[in-house]
Amino acid sequence: MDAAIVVDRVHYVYPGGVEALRGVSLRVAKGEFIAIMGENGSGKTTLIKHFNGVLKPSSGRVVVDGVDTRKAPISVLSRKVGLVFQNPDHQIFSETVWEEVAFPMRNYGFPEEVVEERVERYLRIMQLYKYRDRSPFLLSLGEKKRLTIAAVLAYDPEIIVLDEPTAGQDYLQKEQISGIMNLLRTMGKTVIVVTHDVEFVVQHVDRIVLMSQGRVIAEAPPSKALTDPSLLARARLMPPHLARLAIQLSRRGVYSLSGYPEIGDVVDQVLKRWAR
Amino acid sequence: MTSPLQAFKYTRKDTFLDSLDPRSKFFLSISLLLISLFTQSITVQLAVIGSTFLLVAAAKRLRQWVPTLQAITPLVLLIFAVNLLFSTPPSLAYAALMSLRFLAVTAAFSMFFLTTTPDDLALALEQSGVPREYSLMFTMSLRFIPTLAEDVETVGAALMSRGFKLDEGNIIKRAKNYVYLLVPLIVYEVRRSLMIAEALEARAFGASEKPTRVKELKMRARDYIVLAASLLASFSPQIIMWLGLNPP
Ligand SMILES: Nc1ncnc2c1ncn2[C@@H]1O[C@H](COP(=O)(O)OP(=O)(O)O)[C@@H](O)[C@H]1O
Ligand SMILES: [Mg+2]
Repeated sequence: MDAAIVVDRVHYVYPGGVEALRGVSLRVAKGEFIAIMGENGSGKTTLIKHFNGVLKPSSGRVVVDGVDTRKAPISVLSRKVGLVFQNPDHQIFSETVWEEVAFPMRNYGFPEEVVEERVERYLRIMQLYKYRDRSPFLLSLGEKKRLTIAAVLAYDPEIIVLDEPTAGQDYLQKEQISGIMNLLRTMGKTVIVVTHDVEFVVQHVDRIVLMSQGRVIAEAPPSKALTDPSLLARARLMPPHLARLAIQLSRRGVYSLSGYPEIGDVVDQVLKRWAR
Repeated sequence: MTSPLQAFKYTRKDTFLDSLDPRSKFFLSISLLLISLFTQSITVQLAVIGSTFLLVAAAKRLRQWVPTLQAITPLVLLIFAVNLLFSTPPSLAYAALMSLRFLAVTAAFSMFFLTTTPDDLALALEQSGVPREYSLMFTMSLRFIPTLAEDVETVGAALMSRGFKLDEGNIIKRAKNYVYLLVPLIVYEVRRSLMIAEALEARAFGASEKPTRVKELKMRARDYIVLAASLLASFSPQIIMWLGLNPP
């Protein structure tokens, strides 16, 4: 499979002297869905900022769709890689919600009728259409987050990178974002999500990249990564309740763990034992 | 963090300069400023920079201080060029004097901020009769310079990530581009300051006119020595002239 992003032995040192990445190598295939997980400060945000050239590696290289990020400006790389930053307040520039979504499309010279059609479509998907004439700065945190996602999806980049998209969203809004993830998958997009949301990961991603202290410590499908207590401990992640329950039950021989547990399956197996 | 702003960031160390009362240190920087402002001599400017260098070296802060001076070099060159172009008649010596003066003053005040904790600064202001609101305002603005610099970078990166060509076009175009940066920045900083104000009030800021302090500043013998030395240094060019020795 063709690679969307290749990260090759990247080190990154912030100007203050913090070495945030210590030799990260990673390959993301076209059309793949991956999650980057790890404790706070492990370097997730630093890594994804390399994907559209906001940060350039101190050593090593990052190649996006065949282009070395050191050789192209951020605005050009961003046409391929849409990056939704962690903090929405840093990425809102326009006077109205409508204009905010139109902003990148205008920068990339989309024809006006396309802009109109897409702004409306994505505002509706994100349930923000009713706010179209409001100032984006007056939205709630969750709404601002969805607005910045809409602004990136609307200009249709091939690779979409989201930094903690579900933070600050309630259950229903998370479901909406989940719906959008499914949409992106049917569109064949490459998606990279930084998140702590285990449920979200189990639902959507093909592969988890676990980071700790500026390094990738493991890459595995969710069924494996999230049921491996020692690996999770190293990444300082808490396994999801269901996985913890399944691990405990399987240690007691009441349940046989294979892949990520399904709640119905766990109940069935336990009941079966009980009946005996 | 952007390096010019590193200039005003305190790092804790245990040296002679750190042990001084902020007031006497401030006086020391002021006297360096006065010497620099009142002399027309390039040699004296160099002497001011040289002595600041020695003081900073003694305070083990060269690693922060030197990058600051490097960072302001473009500004120094600009001052040089402007003075060379607009002085009548054009005078190399005058342009050199003005740019060195700028360098000397920055060097001296950078030394002060590098060796004084914001807390000591606040104490010094309060004990000099500045109301608490103002001293806090001053130290908080210092505290937020690096944060602000980070925000500028983050917002700029976000703009470019939306396909905006921030650093392209002629100077006027670029200046206009930066207006886009200002909108989110102002909103963000205003919001942040309101949050800080609320947090301060939640911690009973302003409940008493003059809050008690754990630490009181006290001038010691070494402070008086520095004061006297600074005073003497301020007048040194005049003294030298007085003695009939022309300063070079
Ligand atoms: N702008 C910055 N300047 C200096 N250090 C930074 C900056 N941003 C992040 N760091 C440091 O780099 C490390 C990784 O941070 P980050 O990539 O934000 O982690 P994560 O997103 O996994 O929480 C942390 O130690 C953090 O303190
Ligand atoms: Mg982060």
